[in-house]
Amino acid sequence: MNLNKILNSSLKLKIMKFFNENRSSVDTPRGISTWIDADMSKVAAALNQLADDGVVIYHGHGSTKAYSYIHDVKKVKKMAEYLESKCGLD
Amino acid sequence: MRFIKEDYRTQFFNKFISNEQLKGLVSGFSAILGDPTWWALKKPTVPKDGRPVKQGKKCSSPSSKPLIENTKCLKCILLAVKRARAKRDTVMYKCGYGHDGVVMPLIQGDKILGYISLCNIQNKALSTLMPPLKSSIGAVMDDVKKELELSKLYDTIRPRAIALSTIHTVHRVLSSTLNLDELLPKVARLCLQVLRAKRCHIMLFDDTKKYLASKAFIDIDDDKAGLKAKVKIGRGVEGRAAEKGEASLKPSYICVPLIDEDVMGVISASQKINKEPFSAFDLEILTTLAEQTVTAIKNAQLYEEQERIIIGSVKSLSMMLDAKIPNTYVHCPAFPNITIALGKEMGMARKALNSLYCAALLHDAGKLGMPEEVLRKKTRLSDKEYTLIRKHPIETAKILKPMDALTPAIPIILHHHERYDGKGYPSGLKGDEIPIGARIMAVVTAFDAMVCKRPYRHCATVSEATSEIKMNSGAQFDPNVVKAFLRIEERGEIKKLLKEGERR
Repeated sequence: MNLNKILNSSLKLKIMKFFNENRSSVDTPRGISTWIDADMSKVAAALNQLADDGVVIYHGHGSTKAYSYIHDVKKVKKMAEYLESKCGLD
Repeated sequence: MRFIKEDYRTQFFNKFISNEQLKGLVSGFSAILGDPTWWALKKPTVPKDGRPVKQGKKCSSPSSKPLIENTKCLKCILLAVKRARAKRDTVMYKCGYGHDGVVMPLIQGDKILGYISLCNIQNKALSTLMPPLKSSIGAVMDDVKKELELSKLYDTIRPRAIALSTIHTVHRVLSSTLNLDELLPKVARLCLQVLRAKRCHIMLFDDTKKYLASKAFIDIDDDKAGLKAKVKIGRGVEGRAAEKGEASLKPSYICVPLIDEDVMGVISASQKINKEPFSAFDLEILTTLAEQTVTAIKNAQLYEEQERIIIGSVKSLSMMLDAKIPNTYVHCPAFPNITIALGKEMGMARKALNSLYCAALLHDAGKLGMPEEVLRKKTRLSDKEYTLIRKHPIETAKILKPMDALTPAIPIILHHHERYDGKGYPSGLKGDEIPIGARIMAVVTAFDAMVCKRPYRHCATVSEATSEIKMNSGAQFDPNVVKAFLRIEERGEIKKLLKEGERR
Protein backbone atom coordinates (compact mmCIF):
# COMPACT_ATOMS: atom_id res chain seq x y z
CA MET A 1 0.00 0.00 0.00
CA ASN A 2 1.88 3.04 -1.30
CA LEU A 3 0.14 5.86 0.53
CA ASN A 4 2.18 8.59 -1.13
CA LYS A 5 0.82 7.38 -4.45
CA ILE A 6 -2.75 6.75 -3.24
CA LEU A 7 -3.16 9.98 -1.27
CA ASN A 8 -1.86 12.16 -4.09
CA SER A 9 -4.10 15.17 -3.42
CA SER A 10 -5.07 17.31 -0.47
CA LEU A 11 -8.71 16.29 -1.04
CA LYS A 12 -7.90 12.59 -0.69
CA LEU A 13 -5.94 13.39 2.48
CA LYS A 14 -8.96 15.27 3.86
CA ILE A 15 -11.28 12.37 3.02
CA MET A 16 -9.03 9.80 4.66
CA LYS A 17 -8.55 12.07 7.68
CA PHE A 18 -12.34 12.17 8.01
CA PHE A 19 -12.60 8.37 7.86
CA ASN A 20 -9.69 7.95 10.24
CA GLU A 21 -11.45 10.17 12.78
CA ASN A 22 -14.90 8.66 12.12
CA ARG A 23 -14.17 4.99 11.53
CA SER A 24 -17.78 3.86 11.92
CA SER A 25 -19.08 6.30 9.34
CA VAL A 26 -20.87 5.10 6.23
CA ASP A 27 -21.77 8.05 4.05
CA THR A 28 -22.59 9.26 0.58
CA PRO A 29 -20.30 11.57 -1.44
CA ARG A 30 -22.74 14.39 -0.60
CA GLY A 31 -22.50 13.64 3.14
CA ILE A 32 -18.72 13.37 3.13
CA SER A 33 -18.36 16.56 1.10
CA THR A 34 -20.43 18.32 3.79
CA TRP A 35 -18.27 17.01 6.65
CA ILE A 36 -15.01 18.01 5.01
CA ASP A 37 -16.36 21.16 3.32
CA ALA A 38 -15.37 20.27 -0.24
CA ASP A 39 -16.96 20.14 -3.69
CA MET A 40 -19.29 17.14 -4.00
CA SER A 41 -18.39 16.07 -7.54
CA LYS A 42 -14.66 16.17 -6.73
CA VAL A 43 -15.28 14.19 -3.52
CA ALA A 44 -17.32 11.61 -5.49
CA ALA A 45 -14.47 11.15 -7.99
CA ALA A 46 -11.84 10.95 -5.22
CA LEU A 47 -13.91 8.38 -3.28
CA ASN A 48 -14.21 6.28 -6.40
CA GLN A 49 -10.43 6.26 -6.81
CA LEU A 50 -9.85 5.58 -3.10
CA ALA A 51 -12.24 2.60 -3.32
CA ASP A 52 -10.31 1.31 -6.37
CA ASP A 53 -7.09 1.71 -4.36
CA GLY A 54 -8.62 -0.34 -1.54
CA VAL A 55 -8.50 2.24 1.26
CA VAL A 56 -12.26 2.81 1.46
CA ILE A 57 -15.12 0.33 0.99
CA TYR A 58 -17.95 0.92 -1.49
CA HIS A 59 -21.40 -0.09 -0.22
CA GLY A 60 -23.65 1.32 -2.91
CA HIS A 61 -26.66 -0.14 -4.59
CA GLY A 62 -28.25 1.31 -7.72
CA SER A 63 -28.22 5.07 -7.47
CA THR A 64 -27.21 5.03 -3.79
CA LYS A 65 -23.46 5.32 -3.46
CA ALA A 66 -22.01 4.91 0.03
CA TYR A 67 -18.46 4.59 1.31
CA SER A 68 -16.80 3.62 4.58
CA TYR A 69 -13.36 3.03 6.08
CA ILE A 70 -11.48 -0.24 5.63
CA HIS A 71 -11.41 -2.87 8.40
CA ASP A 72 -7.88 -4.25 8.04
CA VAL A 73 -6.17 -3.41 11.34
CA LYS A 74 -2.67 -3.18 9.85
CA LYS A 75 -3.79 -0.95 6.97
CA VAL A 76 -5.77 1.28 9.35
CA LYS A 77 -2.72 1.65 11.61
CA LYS A 78 -0.47 2.47 8.67
CA MET A 79 -3.00 5.00 7.38
CA ALA A 80 -3.35 6.63 10.84
CA GLU A 81 0.44 6.98 11.14
CA TYR A 82 0.69 8.40 7.64
CA LEU A 83 -2.10 10.90 8.24
CA GLU A 84 -0.53 11.97 11.54
CA SER A 85 2.77 12.60 9.80
CA LYS A 86 1.05 14.58 7.05
CA CYS A 87 -1.71 16.41 8.92
CA GLY A 88 -0.64 16.25 12.58
CA LEU A 89 -2.97 15.76 15.54
CA ASP A 90 -6.00 17.94 16.02
CA MET B 1 -8.30 15.42 20.98
CA ARG B 2 -5.93 16.27 23.85
CA PHE B 3 -7.54 19.68 23.94
CA ILE B 4 -10.95 18.30 24.92
CA LYS B 5 -9.52 16.45 27.93
CA GLU B 6 -8.12 19.66 29.46
CA ASP B 7 -10.26 21.48 31.98
CA TYR B 8 -12.24 24.55 31.10
CA ARG B 9 -9.86 26.94 32.93
CA THR B 10 -6.90 25.74 30.84
CA GLN B 11 -8.92 25.85 27.64
CA PHE B 12 -10.13 29.34 28.45
CA PHE B 13 -6.72 30.62 29.48
CA ASN B 14 -4.98 29.22 26.40
CA LYS B 15 -7.61 30.63 24.07
CA PHE B 16 -7.54 33.97 25.91
CA ILE B 17 -3.81 34.57 25.66
CA SER B 18 -3.76 33.60 21.98
CA ASN B 19 -6.84 35.69 21.13
CA GLU B 20 -6.24 38.12 18.26
CA GLN B 21 -8.52 40.74 19.84
CA LEU B 22 -6.39 40.61 23.00
CA LYS B 23 -3.23 41.17 20.96
CA GLY B 24 -4.78 44.31 19.44
CA LEU B 25 -5.93 45.48 22.86
CA VAL B 26 -2.47 44.96 24.39
CA SER B 27 -0.87 46.88 21.58
CA GLY B 28 -3.38 49.77 21.78
CA PHE B 29 -3.29 50.14 25.58
CA SER B 30 0.50 49.73 25.66
CA ALA B 31 0.82 52.94 23.66
CA ILE B 32 -1.49 54.81 26.07
CA LEU B 33 -0.02 53.35 29.29
CA GLY B 34 3.62 53.99 28.39
CA ASP B 35 4.64 50.54 27.18
CA PRO B 36 4.13 48.38 30.29
CA THR B 37 5.03 44.68 30.50
CA TRP B 38 1.92 42.46 30.31
CA TRP B 39 1.74 39.21 32.23
CA ALA B 40 -0.94 36.54 32.12
CA LEU B 41 -1.26 34.01 35.00
CA LYS B 42 -3.61 31.10 35.22
CA LYS B 43 -3.38 30.69 39.01
CA PRO B 44 -2.05 32.76 41.91
CA THR B 45 0.92 30.42 42.19
CA VAL B 46 4.37 30.39 40.67
CA PRO B 47 3.91 29.59 36.97
CA LYS B 48 6.20 26.95 35.51
CA ASP B 49 7.00 28.76 32.31
CA GLY B 50 5.44 32.20 32.75
CA ARG B 51 6.63 34.67 30.15
CA PRO B 52 5.22 38.14 29.52
CA VAL B 53 2.41 38.51 27.01
CA LYS B 54 4.20 41.66 25.92
CA GLN B 55 7.59 42.87 27.08
CA GLY B 56 7.68 46.62 27.79
CA LYS B 57 10.89 48.19 26.54
CA LYS B 58 11.26 50.54 29.49
CA CYS B 59 10.92 47.82 32.11
CA SER B 60 14.13 47.42 34.10
CA SER B 61 13.34 43.88 35.17
CA PRO B 62 15.00 40.99 33.30
CA SER B 63 11.55 40.02 32.05
CA SER B 64 12.79 38.20 28.99
CA LYS B 65 13.49 35.39 31.45
CA PRO B 66 10.66 33.12 32.62
CA LEU B 67 8.66 34.74 35.40
CA ILE B 68 9.85 32.06 37.82
CA GLU B 69 13.38 33.43 37.53
CA ASN B 70 12.23 37.03 37.98
CA THR B 71 11.94 36.68 41.73
CA LYS B 72 11.73 40.41 42.36
CA CYS B 73 8.82 40.89 39.92
CA LEU B 74 7.27 37.59 40.81
CA LYS B 75 6.99 38.40 44.50
CA CYS B 76 5.12 41.68 43.84
CA ILE B 77 2.88 40.24 41.15
CA LEU B 78 1.90 37.19 43.19
CA LEU B 79 1.09 39.34 46.20
CA ALA B 80 -1.10 41.57 44.01
CA VAL B 81 -2.69 38.53 42.39
CA LYS B 82 -3.61 37.12 45.80
CA ARG B 83 -5.14 40.47 46.77
CA ALA B 84 -7.06 40.57 43.51
CA ARG B 85 -8.33 37.04 44.09
CA ALA B 86 -9.50 37.94 47.64
CA LYS B 87 -11.09 41.18 46.44
CA ARG B 88 -12.35 39.64 43.17
CA ASP B 89 -11.47 42.96 41.57
CA THR B 90 -8.62 44.91 40.06
CA VAL B 91 -5.79 45.93 42.41
CA MET B 92 -2.87 48.30 41.94
CA TYR B 93 0.65 47.73 43.24
CA LYS B 94 4.24 49.02 43.19
CA CYS B 95 6.75 46.57 41.80
CA GLY B 96 10.16 45.79 43.22
CA TYR B 97 11.68 48.46 40.99
CA GLY B 98 9.17 51.06 42.23
CA HIS B 99 7.00 51.07 39.14
CA ASP B 100 3.18 51.18 39.09
CA GLY B 101 1.38 47.97 38.27
CA VAL B 102 -2.09 46.56 38.13
CA VAL B 103 -3.56 43.03 38.42
CA MET B 104 -6.94 42.28 36.92
CA PRO B 105 -8.72 38.98 37.68
CA LEU B 106 -10.44 37.30 34.72
CA ILE B 107 -13.82 36.60 36.30
CA GLN B 108 -16.49 34.54 34.61
CA GLY B 109 -19.60 33.86 36.68
CA ASP B 110 -18.32 32.82 40.11
CA LYS B 111 -14.99 31.55 38.82
CA ILE B 112 -11.66 33.33 38.39
CA LEU B 113 -10.10 31.86 35.26
CA GLY B 114 -6.79 33.75 35.38
CA TYR B 115 -5.14 37.09 35.93
CA ILE B 116 -3.74 39.85 33.76
CA SER B 117 -0.95 41.93 35.24
CA LEU B 118 0.55 45.10 33.81
CA CYS B 119 3.97 46.15 35.20
CA ASN B 120 5.79 49.45 34.82
CA ILE B 121 2.83 51.62 33.85
CA GLN B 122 4.12 55.09 33.01
CA ASN B 123 0.81 56.90 32.59
CA LYS B 124 -0.29 58.61 35.81
CA ALA B 125 -3.93 58.74 34.74
CA LEU B 126 -4.16 54.97 35.30
CA SER B 127 -7.40 55.15 37.32
CA THR B 128 -9.13 56.96 34.42
CA LEU B 129 -7.93 54.34 31.97
CA MET B 130 -8.98 51.36 34.08
CA PRO B 131 -12.70 51.29 33.15
CA PRO B 132 -12.07 51.14 29.36
CA LEU B 133 -9.28 48.56 29.90
CA LYS B 134 -11.56 46.38 32.09
CA SER B 135 -14.37 46.68 29.59
CA SER B 136 -12.06 45.74 26.70
CA ILE B 137 -10.68 42.73 28.61
CA GLY B 138 -14.29 41.77 29.39
CA ALA B 139 -15.14 41.90 25.67
CA VAL B 140 -12.19 39.58 24.89
CA MET B 141 -13.36 37.20 27.64
CA ASP B 142 -16.88 37.14 26.16
CA ASP B 143 -15.38 36.45 22.76
CA VAL B 144 -13.30 33.54 24.13
CA LYS B 145 -16.30 32.20 26.07
CA LYS B 146 -18.43 32.15 22.89
CA GLU B 147 -15.60 30.54 20.94
CA LEU B 148 -15.30 27.80 23.57
CA GLU B 149 -19.06 27.26 23.67
CA LEU B 150 -19.14 26.93 19.89
CA SER B 151 -16.20 24.56 19.97
CA LYS B 152 -17.90 22.44 22.67
CA LEU B 153 -21.13 22.42 20.69
CA TYR B 154 -19.23 21.40 17.55
CA ASP B 155 -17.40 18.61 19.38
CA THR B 156 -20.70 17.35 20.82
CA ILE B 157 -22.91 17.68 17.77
CA ARG B 158 -20.55 16.72 14.94
CA PRO B 159 -20.01 13.04 15.95
CA ARG B 160 -23.77 12.66 16.50
CA ALA B 161 -24.56 14.28 13.17
CA ILE B 162 -22.06 11.96 11.47
CA ALA B 163 -23.62 8.94 13.24
CA LEU B 164 -27.09 10.10 12.20
CA SER B 165 -25.92 10.54 8.63
CA THR B 166 -24.49 7.00 8.76
CA ILE B 167 -27.84 5.59 9.92
CA HIS B 168 -29.59 7.51 7.16
CA THR B 169 -27.13 6.27 4.51
CA VAL B 170 -27.43 2.67 5.72
CA HIS B 171 -31.21 3.00 5.52
CA ARG B 172 -30.92 4.27 1.93
CA VAL B 173 -28.60 1.45 0.89
CA LEU B 174 -30.82 -1.19 2.50
CA SER B 175 -34.11 0.15 1.20
CA SER B 176 -32.78 0.23 -2.35
CA THR B 177 -31.86 -3.48 -2.16
CA LEU B 178 -34.89 -5.55 -3.12
CA ASN B 179 -33.12 -8.86 -3.63
CA LEU B 180 -33.11 -10.89 -0.40
CA ASP B 181 -30.00 -12.85 -1.41
CA GLU B 182 -28.07 -9.60 -1.76
CA LEU B 183 -29.74 -7.80 1.15
CA LEU B 184 -28.66 -9.87 4.15
CA PRO B 185 -24.91 -10.07 3.35
CA LYS B 186 -25.09 -6.32 2.74
CA VAL B 187 -26.72 -5.76 6.16
CA ALA B 188 -24.00 -7.90 7.76
CA ARG B 189 -21.22 -5.90 6.07
CA LEU B 190 -22.76 -2.57 7.04
CA CYS B 191 -23.23 -3.83 10.60
CA LEU B 192 -19.53 -4.71 10.83
CA GLN B 193 -18.68 -1.29 9.49
CA VAL B 194 -20.92 0.69 11.83
CA LEU B 195 -20.00 -1.30 14.96
CA ARG B 196 -16.34 -1.80 13.91
CA ALA B 197 -16.77 -5.48 14.78
CA LYS B 198 -15.02 -8.53 13.33
CA ARG B 199 -17.99 -10.83 12.77
CA CYS B 200 -21.68 -10.43 12.02
CA HIS B 201 -24.28 -13.18 11.76
CA ILE B 202 -27.88 -12.89 10.58
CA MET B 203 -30.27 -15.74 11.29
CA LEU B 204 -33.93 -16.05 10.34
CA PHE B 205 -36.59 -18.51 11.48
CA ASP B 206 -36.84 -21.52 9.19
CA ASP B 207 -40.22 -22.82 7.94
CA THR B 208 -40.73 -24.95 11.07
CA LYS B 209 -40.26 -21.84 13.28
CA LYS B 210 -38.31 -24.11 15.64
CA TYR B 211 -34.86 -23.27 14.36
CA LEU B 212 -32.90 -20.21 13.33
CA ALA B 213 -31.28 -20.71 9.94
CA SER B 214 -28.03 -18.93 9.15
CA LYS B 215 -28.68 -16.46 6.29
CA ALA B 216 -25.54 -14.31 6.25
CA PHE B 217 -22.24 -14.61 8.09
CA ILE B 218 -19.34 -12.25 7.50
CA ASP B 219 -15.95 -12.62 9.18
CA ILE B 220 -13.40 -9.94 8.27
CA ASP B 221 -10.56 -12.34 9.10
CA ASP B 222 -11.98 -15.09 6.89
CA ASP B 223 -13.27 -14.13 3.43
CA LYS B 224 -14.42 -17.67 2.77
CA ALA B 225 -16.46 -18.09 5.95
CA GLY B 226 -19.68 -19.89 5.01
CA LEU B 227 -23.04 -20.01 6.69
CA LYS B 228 -23.30 -21.57 10.15
CA ALA B 229 -25.37 -24.46 11.46
CA LYS B 230 -29.02 -24.09 12.46
CA VAL B 231 -29.70 -23.05 16.04
CA LYS B 232 -32.68 -24.36 18.02
CA ILE B 233 -34.93 -21.67 19.47
CA GLY B 234 -34.06 -21.14 23.13
CA ARG B 235 -30.51 -22.51 22.73
CA GLY B 236 -27.43 -20.33 22.76
CA VAL B 237 -27.41 -16.53 22.83
CA GLU B 238 -29.13 -16.23 19.44
CA GLY B 239 -31.76 -18.86 20.26
CA ARG B 240 -32.59 -17.19 23.57
CA ALA B 241 -32.72 -13.70 21.99
CA ALA B 242 -35.14 -15.06 19.38
CA GLU B 243 -37.26 -16.88 21.98
CA LYS B 244 -37.57 -13.92 24.36
CA GLY B 245 -37.42 -11.17 21.74
CA GLU B 246 -34.81 -9.44 23.89
CA ALA B 247 -31.40 -8.03 23.03
CA SER B 248 -28.25 -9.32 24.67
CA LEU B 249 -25.18 -7.17 25.35
CA LYS B 250 -21.93 -8.81 26.43
CA PRO B 251 -18.42 -7.28 26.36
CA SER B 252 -17.44 -9.17 23.22
CA TYR B 253 -20.87 -10.05 21.83
CA ILE B 254 -24.05 -8.24 20.96
CA CYS B 255 -27.30 -9.75 19.69
CA VAL B 256 -30.58 -8.05 18.75
CA PRO B 257 -33.81 -9.74 17.66
CA LEU B 258 -35.33 -8.83 14.29
CA ILE B 259 -38.92 -8.02 15.16
CA ASP B 260 -41.73 -7.31 12.76
CA GLU B 261 -45.10 -8.28 14.26
CA ASP B 262 -43.32 -11.30 15.77
CA VAL B 263 -39.66 -12.16 16.04
CA MET B 264 -38.40 -13.17 12.58
CA GLY B 265 -34.73 -13.72 13.43
CA VAL B 266 -31.66 -12.21 15.08
CA ILE B 267 -28.65 -10.15 14.10
CA SER B 268 -25.48 -10.51 16.14
CA ALA B 269 -21.97 -9.08 16.10
CA SER B 270 -18.87 -10.16 17.94
CA GLN B 271 -15.45 -8.80 18.85
CA LYS B 272 -14.70 -5.15 18.24
CA ILE B 273 -11.70 -4.43 16.03
CA ASN B 274 -10.15 -2.21 18.72
CA LYS B 275 -10.79 -4.98 21.32
CA GLU B 276 -12.96 -2.63 23.40
CA PRO B 277 -16.20 -4.00 24.88
CA PHE B 278 -19.51 -3.38 23.14
CA SER B 279 -21.32 -0.41 24.70
CA ALA B 280 -24.92 0.66 25.24
CA PHE B 281 -24.41 3.00 22.27
CA ASP B 282 -23.48 -0.02 20.10
CA LEU B 283 -26.68 -1.73 21.28
CA GLU B 284 -28.66 1.37 20.30
CA ILE B 285 -27.02 1.43 16.86
CA LEU B 286 -27.58 -2.31 16.28
CA THR B 287 -31.22 -2.00 17.39
CA THR B 288 -31.74 0.78 14.81
CA LEU B 289 -29.98 -1.32 12.19
CA ALA B 290 -32.19 -4.32 13.12
CA GLU B 291 -35.32 -2.19 12.64
CA GLN B 292 -34.08 -1.03 9.24
CA THR B 293 -33.22 -4.61 8.33
CA VAL B 294 -36.73 -5.81 9.17
CA THR B 295 -38.24 -3.10 6.94
CA ALA B 296 -35.80 -3.96 4.15
CA ILE B 297 -36.55 -7.71 4.47
CA LYS B 298 -40.29 -7.05 4.34
CA ASN B 299 -39.85 -4.78 1.30
CA ALA B 300 -37.72 -7.39 -0.48
CA GLN B 301 -40.22 -10.14 0.39
CA LEU B 302 -43.13 -8.03 -0.88
CA TYR B 303 -41.21 -7.21 -4.04
CA GLU B 304 -40.42 -10.89 -4.66
CA GLU B 305 -44.06 -11.80 -4.00
CA GLN B 306 -45.20 -9.12 -6.46
CA GLU B 307 -42.73 -10.46 -9.03
CA ARG B 308 -44.06 -13.99 -8.51
CA ILE B 309 -47.64 -12.76 -8.97
CA ILE B 310 -46.75 -10.95 -12.20
CA ILE B 311 -44.79 -13.90 -13.62
CA GLY B 312 -47.58 -16.27 -12.55
CA SER B 313 -50.23 -14.13 -14.27
CA VAL B 314 -48.13 -13.89 -17.42
CA LYS B 315 -47.58 -17.67 -17.42
CA SER B 316 -51.34 -18.28 -17.03
CA LEU B 317 -52.08 -15.88 -19.87
CA SER B 318 -49.49 -17.60 -22.04
CA MET B 319 -50.98 -21.05 -21.23
CA MET B 320 -54.44 -19.78 -22.15
CA LEU B 321 -53.11 -18.56 -25.50
CA ASP B 322 -51.33 -21.86 -26.12
CA ALA B 323 -54.47 -23.81 -25.30
CA LYS B 324 -56.34 -21.98 -28.08
CA ILE B 325 -53.99 -22.89 -30.94
CA PRO B 326 -50.88 -24.75 -29.72
CA ASN B 327 -47.46 -23.51 -30.95
CA THR B 328 -48.96 -20.35 -32.45
CA TYR B 329 -49.13 -17.75 -29.72
CA VAL B 330 -46.28 -19.20 -27.71
CA HIS B 331 -43.19 -21.13 -28.71
CA CYS B 332 -41.80 -24.43 -27.50
CA PRO B 333 -41.67 -24.84 -23.68
CA ALA B 334 -37.90 -24.27 -23.63
CA PHE B 335 -38.20 -20.93 -25.46
CA PRO B 336 -38.50 -18.61 -22.40
CA ASN B 337 -35.67 -20.41 -20.57
CA ILE B 338 -33.31 -20.29 -23.58
CA THR B 339 -34.10 -16.55 -23.86
CA ILE B 340 -33.25 -16.05 -20.17
CA ALA B 341 -30.06 -18.13 -20.48
CA LEU B 342 -28.97 -15.91 -23.37
CA GLY B 343 -29.98 -12.76 -21.43
CA LYS B 344 -27.82 -13.91 -18.50
CA GLU B 345 -24.93 -14.67 -20.83
CA MET B 346 -25.28 -11.10 -22.15
CA GLY B 347 -24.96 -9.84 -18.54
CA MET B 348 -28.50 -8.51 -18.14
CA ALA B 349 -29.58 -7.52 -14.62
CA ARG B 350 -32.27 -9.38 -12.73
CA LYS B 351 -34.99 -6.77 -13.37
CA ALA B 352 -34.24 -6.71 -17.11
CA LEU B 353 -34.27 -10.52 -17.16
CA ASN B 354 -37.76 -10.53 -15.66
CA SER B 355 -38.99 -8.21 -18.43
CA LEU B 356 -37.28 -10.43 -21.00
CA TYR B 357 -39.00 -13.48 -19.51
CA CYS B 358 -42.44 -11.84 -19.70
CA ALA B 359 -41.72 -10.72 -23.28
CA ALA B 360 -40.68 -14.28 -24.20
CA LEU B 361 -43.96 -15.65 -22.84
CA LEU B 362 -46.28 -13.10 -24.44
CA HIS B 363 -44.51 -11.71 -27.51
CA ASP B 364 -46.98 -13.26 -29.96
CA ALA B 365 -50.16 -12.52 -27.99
CA GLY B 366 -51.15 -10.00 -30.68
CA LYS B 367 -51.87 -12.90 -33.05
CA LEU B 368 -55.04 -13.36 -30.98
CA GLY B 369 -56.74 -10.74 -33.13
CA MET B 370 -55.67 -12.40 -36.42
CA PRO B 371 -58.00 -14.74 -38.36
CA GLU B 372 -57.49 -18.36 -37.26
CA GLU B 373 -57.38 -19.61 -40.89
CA VAL B 374 -54.32 -17.43 -41.49
CA LEU B 375 -52.61 -18.62 -38.34
CA ARG B 376 -53.39 -22.29 -39.10
CA LYS B 377 -52.47 -22.03 -42.79
CA LYS B 378 -49.87 -24.64 -43.81
CA THR B 379 -49.17 -23.21 -47.27
CA ARG B 380 -47.36 -20.00 -48.21
CA LEU B 381 -49.11 -16.79 -47.01
CA SER B 382 -50.44 -14.29 -49.55
CA ASP B 383 -49.00 -10.73 -49.48
CA LYS B 384 -52.15 -9.48 -47.79
CA GLU B 385 -51.95 -12.21 -45.12
CA TYR B 386 -48.25 -11.59 -44.61
CA THR B 387 -48.90 -7.85 -44.12
CA LEU B 388 -51.49 -8.76 -41.51
CA ILE B 389 -49.10 -11.13 -39.69
CA ARG B 390 -46.38 -8.47 -39.64
CA LYS B 391 -48.68 -6.31 -37.50
CA HIS B 392 -48.65 -8.76 -34.57
CA PRO B 393 -45.86 -7.06 -32.57
CA ILE B 394 -47.83 -3.79 -32.63
CA GLU B 395 -51.03 -5.62 -31.69
CA THR B 396 -49.27 -7.41 -28.84
CA ALA B 397 -47.90 -4.10 -27.53
CA LYS B 398 -51.45 -2.65 -27.64
CA ILE B 399 -52.88 -5.60 -25.68
CA LEU B 400 -50.19 -5.43 -22.99
CA LYS B 401 -50.04 -1.64 -22.66
CA PRO B 402 -52.65 -1.40 -19.86
CA MET B 403 -50.52 -3.74 -17.68
CA ASP B 404 -48.07 -1.30 -16.03
CA ALA B 405 -45.92 -4.14 -14.72
CA LEU B 406 -45.19 -5.19 -18.31
CA THR B 407 -44.20 -1.72 -19.58
CA PRO B 408 -40.45 -2.62 -19.73
CA ALA B 409 -41.31 -5.75 -21.78
CA ILE B 410 -43.22 -3.82 -24.48
CA PRO B 411 -40.18 -2.45 -26.43
CA ILE B 412 -38.76 -6.00 -26.52
CA ILE B 413 -42.04 -7.38 -27.87
CA LEU B 414 -42.54 -4.51 -30.31
CA HIS B 415 -39.10 -4.90 -31.91
CA HIS B 416 -38.34 -8.64 -31.72
CA HIS B 417 -38.81 -8.92 -35.51
CA GLU B 418 -36.37 -6.10 -36.31
CA ARG B 419 -33.19 -7.14 -38.11
CA TYR B 420 -29.68 -5.98 -37.17
CA ASP B 421 -29.20 -4.66 -40.73
CA GLY B 422 -32.40 -2.55 -40.51
CA LYS B 423 -34.50 -4.70 -42.86
CA GLY B 424 -36.88 -5.98 -40.19
CA TYR B 425 -40.29 -4.80 -38.97
CA PRO B 426 -42.31 -2.95 -37.68
CA SER B 427 -39.97 0.10 -37.43
CA GLY B 428 -36.94 -0.90 -39.51
CA LEU B 429 -34.62 -0.18 -36.55
CA LYS B 430 -30.93 -0.95 -37.07
CA GLY B 431 -28.05 -2.18 -34.87
CA ASP B 432 -28.06 -0.79 -31.32
CA GLU B 433 -31.29 1.13 -32.01
CA ILE B 434 -33.02 -2.20 -31.40
CA PRO B 435 -33.49 -2.86 -27.66
CA ILE B 436 -31.05 -5.51 -26.43
CA GLY B 437 -33.92 -7.73 -25.22
CA ALA B 438 -35.42 -7.65 -28.71
CA ARG B 439 -32.03 -8.53 -30.30
CA ILE B 440 -31.81 -11.51 -27.92
CA MET B 441 -35.38 -12.58 -28.69
CA ALA B 442 -34.75 -12.31 -32.43
CA VAL B 443 -32.04 -14.99 -32.16
CA VAL B 444 -34.06 -17.30 -29.91
CA THR B 445 -37.27 -16.87 -31.96
CA ALA B 446 -35.40 -17.88 -35.13
CA PHE B 447 -33.75 -20.83 -33.34
CA ASP B 448 -37.11 -21.94 -31.95
CA ALA B 449 -38.76 -21.68 -35.36
CA MET B 450 -36.07 -23.97 -36.77
CA VAL B 451 -35.77 -26.64 -34.06
CA CYS B 452 -39.18 -26.91 -32.42
CA LYS B 453 -41.64 -29.37 -33.86
CA ARG B 454 -44.38 -27.99 -36.11
CA PRO B 455 -46.94 -30.25 -37.76
CA TYR B 456 -46.40 -28.57 -41.12
CA ARG B 457 -42.66 -28.33 -41.55
CA HIS B 458 -39.29 -30.03 -41.27
CA CYS B 459 -37.58 -29.70 -37.92
CA ALA B 460 -33.85 -28.76 -37.97
CA THR B 461 -31.28 -30.15 -35.54
CA VAL B 462 -29.71 -27.87 -32.93
CA SER B 463 -26.46 -27.91 -34.85
CA GLU B 464 -28.19 -27.01 -38.16
CA ALA B 465 -30.12 -24.18 -36.50
CA THR B 466 -26.97 -22.91 -34.77
CA SER B 467 -25.07 -22.84 -38.10
CA GLU B 468 -27.96 -20.89 -39.68
CA ILE B 469 -27.85 -18.35 -36.83
CA LYS B 470 -24.08 -18.06 -37.16
CA MET B 471 -24.47 -17.48 -40.90
CA ASN B 472 -26.88 -14.58 -40.31
CA SER B 473 -24.72 -12.88 -37.67
CA GLY B 474 -24.35 -9.18 -38.49
CA ALA B 475 -27.23 -9.24 -41.00
CA GLN B 476 -30.32 -10.56 -39.26
CA PHE B 477 -28.75 -10.87 -35.80
CA ASP B 478 -26.55 -8.84 -33.47
CA PRO B 479 -23.05 -10.46 -33.70
CA ASN B 480 -22.53 -10.11 -29.93
CA VAL B 481 -25.79 -11.90 -29.20
CA VAL B 482 -24.85 -14.64 -31.68
CA LYS B 483 -21.44 -15.04 -29.96
CA ALA B 484 -23.20 -15.38 -26.60
CA PHE B 485 -25.65 -17.89 -28.09
CA LEU B 486 -22.76 -19.95 -29.48
CA ARG B 487 -21.07 -19.94 -26.07
CA ILE B 488 -24.12 -21.32 -24.26
CA GLU B 489 -24.70 -23.80 -27.07
CA GLU B 490 -21.09 -25.02 -26.79
CA ARG B 491 -21.58 -25.51 -23.06
CA GLY B 492 -24.53 -27.77 -23.87
CA GLU B 493 -27.04 -25.52 -22.12
CA ILE B 494 -29.38 -25.24 -25.15
CA LYS B 495 -29.77 -29.00 -25.53
CA LYS B 496 -30.29 -29.36 -21.79
CA LEU B 497 -33.02 -26.70 -21.79
CA LEU B 498 -34.71 -28.28 -24.82
CA LYS B 499 -34.78 -31.67 -23.06
CA GLU B 500 -36.18 -30.09 -19.89
CA GLY B 501 -38.88 -28.43 -22.03
CA GLU B 502 -39.84 -31.74 -23.61
CA ARG B 503 -40.31 -33.34 -20.18
CA ARG B 504 -42.92 -30.72 -19.19
